[in-house]
Amino acid sequence: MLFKLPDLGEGLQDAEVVEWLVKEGDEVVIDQLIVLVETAKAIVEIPSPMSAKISKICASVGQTVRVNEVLIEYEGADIEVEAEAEEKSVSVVGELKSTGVTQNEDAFIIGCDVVKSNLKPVSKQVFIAPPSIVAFAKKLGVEKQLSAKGYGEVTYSDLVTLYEDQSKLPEHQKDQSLGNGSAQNKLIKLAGAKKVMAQTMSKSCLQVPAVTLFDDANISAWGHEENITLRLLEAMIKACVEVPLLNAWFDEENLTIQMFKDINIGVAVNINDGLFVPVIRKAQSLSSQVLKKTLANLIEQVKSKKIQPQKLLGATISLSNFGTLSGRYATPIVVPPQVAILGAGKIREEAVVIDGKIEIGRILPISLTFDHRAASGADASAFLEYFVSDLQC
Amino acid sequence: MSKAHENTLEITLIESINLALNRAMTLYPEMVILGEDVGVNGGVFRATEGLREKYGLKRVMDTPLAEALIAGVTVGMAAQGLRPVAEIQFMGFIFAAMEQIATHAARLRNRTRGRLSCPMVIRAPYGGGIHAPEHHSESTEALFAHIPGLRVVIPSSPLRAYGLMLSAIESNDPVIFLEPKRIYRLTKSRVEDNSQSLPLDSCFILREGDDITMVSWGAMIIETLQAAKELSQKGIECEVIDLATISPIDRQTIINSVRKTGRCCVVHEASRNCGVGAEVVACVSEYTFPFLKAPISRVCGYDTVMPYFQNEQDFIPSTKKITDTVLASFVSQKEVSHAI
Repeated sequence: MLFKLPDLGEGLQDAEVVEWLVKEGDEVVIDQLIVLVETAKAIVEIPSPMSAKISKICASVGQTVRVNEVLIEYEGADIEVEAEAEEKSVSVVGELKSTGVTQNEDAFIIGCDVVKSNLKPVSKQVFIAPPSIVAFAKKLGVEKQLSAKGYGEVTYSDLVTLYEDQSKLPEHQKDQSLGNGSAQNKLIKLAGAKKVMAQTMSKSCLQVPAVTLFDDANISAWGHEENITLRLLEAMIKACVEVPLLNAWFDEENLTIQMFKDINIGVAVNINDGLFVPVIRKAQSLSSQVLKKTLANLIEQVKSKKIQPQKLLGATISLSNFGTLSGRYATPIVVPPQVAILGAGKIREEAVVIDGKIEIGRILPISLTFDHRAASGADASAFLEYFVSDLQC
Repeated sequence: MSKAHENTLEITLIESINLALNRAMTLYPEMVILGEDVGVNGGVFRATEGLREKYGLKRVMDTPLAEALIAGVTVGMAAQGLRPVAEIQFMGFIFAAMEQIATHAARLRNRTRGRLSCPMVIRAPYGGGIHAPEHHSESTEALFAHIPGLRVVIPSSPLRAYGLMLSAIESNDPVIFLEPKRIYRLTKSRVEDNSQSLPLDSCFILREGDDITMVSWGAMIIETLQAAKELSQKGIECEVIDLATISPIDRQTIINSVRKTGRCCVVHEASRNCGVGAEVVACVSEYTFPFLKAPISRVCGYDTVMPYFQNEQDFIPSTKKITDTVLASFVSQKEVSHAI
């Protein structure tokens, strides 16, 4: 049976054998002192944990024995020999681990010294910005320009300046990735009506929580000479009279809705120079004939570019009859402060069920976008209902 | 054989503290050591071994088991021209001394408009990992870091322990010197007993790297360096900074490093909530925001009482926990760039 150097407490890991009080072959009794060891702290006397004959002494005087290394071997006795029950919880100073490794500490840098001398300033060639700035730069398409320009800490206004500068740069200096550097890819600078359209649409998208309702009008009852735009205008007048909330302006600052007695309908007219929306004033007071004539006049003035600016202002509701071109449904964009805009798509023939029978119907697809801050879905539905049923007459 | 070489010893952190205390006793005749068991016993961890024999009982004093007394006497000695170094046997017992430390030691210079200073050091072993009983394993450095007028210093190797202990004693203002007992005897270093101190209020950069700044202190430096080694095999080069002086923090070194790497992870053994890591993270966020490539992360102990010895290894952040956190900060960067 082996007797190992017990834990001497206080975190000590080893002890040096000072003197053996017994020799091999001695019979010892329990608690008889067998060896003196010296720790970092003091000489410690170690008693025998059992009565038995010592068969071998495993450490010589002067030798350093680590805790749990064998001190002596007893003969026979097949019993557990431990000076103290080995417990995981130990003295107040616990178990101090030792790896026995000598570490090389020759190289470490004292912080403040580095600040003063060695540490290189951050390279201004690297584009450094928080994620939000990076995202904005990517959105403007100036990210590469930015790194080439060597901005360090970049602000939003830096990016805008860069973006504007980029438009002014000579062709060969422009960012190739934007696709406008080569002769084939033309860069268009927006001006006039196109610029106004871009700004108006952006403003609308930022401001207006818009909802679009779709429906179909079965216009099988129409004669073939029917002026579609005129019918649309008449139906709008009818619907506006019934649901005046959509013939209104919404003031987002004061949260007020300005209702109008007059129905001023803006009609979208597209020409090469851009999108124009001339306004038919007091449409509710005009007869069919006058309405038709007014519309024709306005379109003619737009096309001949002779329209006066004030005729493009003051619409209380708008119409976009894109069906003259192509497309079925759309999500027309409300132009603030207006509350609603109607879109009419291309007429098609399709099978419709009427009174349980399938018939061929002429279908005019309708899209109504409204500002949900000013009108509810129910208001818009009611408006659409009046509008469609008027068309179906 | 040169004299310098003769003086170079291969010693553990605790032996290095003993060496520094011994050196300081010869440098400062006004220095005294006091505390429980520091004299006849030589300290429960043997930090003051041999000093009483060498310098006598007037300079190495055993005190009663009364921490408030130890701190109070220390303040008085410091105010009246001595240079006391007191030992609180375990940091868990320091609370009885807190009143003297916070309301007197930390404020003496200000209270007397500079007439009195308080050149004292309070040493205390801190941190877990040695299977000690309750109250022996906490890391409460943040409590002292929050008190203006105190310096809090934590060494993380034998060499730095020697240099920092000397400068702590040299300081004319109070220093709380916390010794990470888990690494008291973990490794040895070559330390030259040359009276050379290391600067307080300065970090130490233990490893240079370009990809992420790791800030740690005390025993956690071991796991942090190991994590840095493992991450290096994955191509991530960590810059490991030993905070060393917990208060006041050497912000400039950390800021410069994070501006270089764009990422930062703080590792400490103390609980996360209001730990010193939070202060480091706040500083990094304030001064390096435009340079950050990923959210700053922390690897800390849990917001619980330090568990008894059987579970303490679960409390102390492991190397794996550190590497996992660092890797995550690289993943999130990827996600950010995709999101844009």
